[in-house]
Amino acid sequence: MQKLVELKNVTAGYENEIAIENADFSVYEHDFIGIIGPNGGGKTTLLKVMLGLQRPWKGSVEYYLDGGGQNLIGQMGYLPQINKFDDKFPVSVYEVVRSGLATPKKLFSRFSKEDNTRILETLQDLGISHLKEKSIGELSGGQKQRVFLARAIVSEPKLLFLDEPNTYVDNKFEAELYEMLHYLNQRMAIVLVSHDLGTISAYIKSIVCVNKSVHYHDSNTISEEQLSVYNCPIQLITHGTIPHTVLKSHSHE
Amino acid sequence: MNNLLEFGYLTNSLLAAVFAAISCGLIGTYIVSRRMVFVSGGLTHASFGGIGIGHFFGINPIIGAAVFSVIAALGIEKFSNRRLVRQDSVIAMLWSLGMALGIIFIYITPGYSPNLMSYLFGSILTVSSLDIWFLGILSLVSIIVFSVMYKVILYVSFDEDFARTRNLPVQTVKYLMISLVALAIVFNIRVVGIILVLSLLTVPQSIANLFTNKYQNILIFSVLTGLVGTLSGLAAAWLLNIPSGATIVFVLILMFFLASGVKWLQNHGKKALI
Repeated sequence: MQKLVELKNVTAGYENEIAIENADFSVYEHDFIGIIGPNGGGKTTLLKVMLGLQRPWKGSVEYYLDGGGQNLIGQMGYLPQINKFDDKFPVSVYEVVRSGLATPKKLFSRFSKEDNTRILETLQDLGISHLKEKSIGELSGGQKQRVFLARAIVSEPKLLFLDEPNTYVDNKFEAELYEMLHYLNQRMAIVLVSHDLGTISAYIKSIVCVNKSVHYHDSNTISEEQLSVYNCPIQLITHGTIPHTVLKSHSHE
Repeated sequence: MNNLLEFGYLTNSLLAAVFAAISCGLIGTYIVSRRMVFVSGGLTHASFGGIGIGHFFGINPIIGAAVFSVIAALGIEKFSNRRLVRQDSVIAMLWSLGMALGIIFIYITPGYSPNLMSYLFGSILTVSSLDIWFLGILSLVSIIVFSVMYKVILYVSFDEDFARTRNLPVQTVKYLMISLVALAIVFNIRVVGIILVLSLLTVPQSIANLFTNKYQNILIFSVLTGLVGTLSGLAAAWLLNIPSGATIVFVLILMFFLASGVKWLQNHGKKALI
């Protein structure tokens, strides 16, 4: 299997505070990695470091995508957390998805017919063609997640990063989303940040636990004992006759 | 001779009104969509420091203000990502520091002190040819920037991080745009003054935003509403012999309320029909 990204002993943070420490793992072709951990544990920071949005303080991130790390445009798709968006921002769904095809070269020229076809196809694949002309603020949480997923995959990336795509959505959408990701996983590696593991664990192939320290776990099942070794207090959902959530937390340090 | 002079004043004022509407309509859209109104307020008042320093050193105060504001703007943009201090507190400091420096420098300048009121409230009827040139060039540059860089401005404004993952020149665009914001503020001080310039940069956009949700349309509508506001405000000020800056702002805000009424009726009418 081809290696796509390698994190070598990465430490990163903001100002004087360390957010993640000693992240040391690789993402391969067809991987489906679930990043879990408590809020404020550094999940988003880890994602941003992998995307090249934030420079590591120590260690390095190496890309093995086409072009040897020189030209990564369009090879990494990104779906950020949707709560950071301004609902009043005047932009249409079509324009948002089109920005997923923007490149420095294309900035001053018009988008091509092929681009347009590709945008329309992606909108269709995700079942949001009818929302094309709507402005982003008019959409529901699930519709927004679909639009941002469309923007992330319209360029057919090799690697897809998703930051909590299962927030602000209902259960029905969540189930559909996982089916979509399962299908996309045939053509791209996926790295997904999630606040819970229960519903998605069937599709995930490996787990990364982040609570400042970063642990790679090469399996889609994880026990509470392992979580405690990784120092990673998260919500574990167990399945029984009566739906219930077991909250297990470990004090840090 | 008197008539000719008056004619010259009038042409200059008309040109200033047109250029103010163009530059503020375009650059204000960037400000409003990115919710940078507070930053812009800070830059507006900081520019008074530049006016004072310019006055003290015998430079054209508007040039002094332009240099001072652009430096302040680039500084804000550069440090806006640091989390050491709250950004709004820094802006508030800059806001009052500018005003303080302006007053100190104007006070310690020997001899004649300028008409402070004209900087605070504008005086479109006495704009100089140099001011017109500044405004005209700024308008032309804004038109070129927004037509050539429309997409990248939109993408960077909407989602910086995503624009970075597409390798777009995010930082360059942000520095360029904040400099344009600073220049738009300073050159329009002549038209409506420090206290009132923010309304030229936000009211036309708010009116446009009532009727359209497309960035491109907001750009165009803001320029058009701005034109109606500045020209009719100027006419009213000229006819009634009242301060021009205040009249322009008053007319613009009146237009906003009228437009809100029209919008309300539109929605109401639709509901009544259904």
